[in-house]
Amino acid sequence: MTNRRIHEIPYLMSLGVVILLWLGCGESESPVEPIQATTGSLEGRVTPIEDLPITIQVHQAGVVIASAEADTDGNYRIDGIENGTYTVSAAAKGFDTVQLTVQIHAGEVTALNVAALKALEIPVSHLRGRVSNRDTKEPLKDVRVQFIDEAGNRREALTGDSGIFGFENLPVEQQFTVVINHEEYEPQNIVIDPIPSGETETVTIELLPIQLNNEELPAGDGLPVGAKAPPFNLPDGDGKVHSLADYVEQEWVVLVFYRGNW
Amino acid sequence: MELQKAYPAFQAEGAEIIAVSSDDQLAAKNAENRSQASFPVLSDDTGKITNAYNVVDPLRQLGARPATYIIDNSGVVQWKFLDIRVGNRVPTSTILNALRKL
Repeated sequence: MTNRRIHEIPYLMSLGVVILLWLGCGESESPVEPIQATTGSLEGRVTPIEDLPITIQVHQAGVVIASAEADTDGNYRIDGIENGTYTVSAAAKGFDTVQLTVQIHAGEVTALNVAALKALEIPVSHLRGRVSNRDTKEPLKDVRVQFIDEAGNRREALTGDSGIFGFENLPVEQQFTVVINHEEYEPQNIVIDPIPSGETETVTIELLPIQLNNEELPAGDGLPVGAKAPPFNLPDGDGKVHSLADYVEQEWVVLVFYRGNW
Repeated sequence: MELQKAYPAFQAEGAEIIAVSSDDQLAAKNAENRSQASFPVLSDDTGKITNAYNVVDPLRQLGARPATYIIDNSGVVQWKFLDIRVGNRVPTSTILNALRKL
């Protein structure tokens, strides 16, 4: 009996090799090429917080690439992320934001679970807003909203399906600026007054589509070098009028035209 | 803000910076506060001066293209920079270098 078993093993092993080879041949002869995916997905779970939405954001080089809200069980999924390394943040009102680094591979789903968020001990406020088209009143999705605090710290958010964006856990007792620069709309700068501790301020932002009217306005190619600079008398922010002539008498002038924020 | 940081260098070259905003006066005030500019930030809310300097952005009502002029002390344009893309402002160091060469 013992001898027979010993002989059986090589036989079975060689059979296995034959089957593997056969499978291998079948594979290499297959003419069907799989479609190359260029983007990957991210999914996972964050411990849910009762009655509080948790926002998951994917950032790269400080710019928000995508965002989603976890469902009531704490599950989230974000598709269509290009190959690369990203920072993923999970944020909820009154809780410390968690940031993690993740590698996304095209055609793959990367799993990323986030540990339970910890409650914050400092007073914070929140801002929530809706962005729409001023003419059509339609909500605008995927608009990048920038938030700047008094110290110049910047945050970003992307609007969701209903044009909604949110910034959680903002410092209290200070003014903020919300900036929207979108190539199809007039830029917007909105100053938000200090929001009391624990409260959520709501803003509605309507963007004015940029009108194309080349016929009415001349294309500005500027004045040529050697041209006389047109005189002007213009008011500053305090209403004081400045005249080009007054400056030119004293010194050279660097005249900078700009629009919106610096 | 970059221009504000370089302001002393401009003054050392004997030049004053004047910024013209095509927003209304209130916006000019806000921009001035925000950037704490110590040079004048002027408001051209009618767009008249923006038009006189031929830097109107044809895509925007009352909007200026990012443009910078160096004007000498006889009121003649000695250098200009203009870009058709909003937000593409000439680097401050480029203006300063141009000023030094003039």
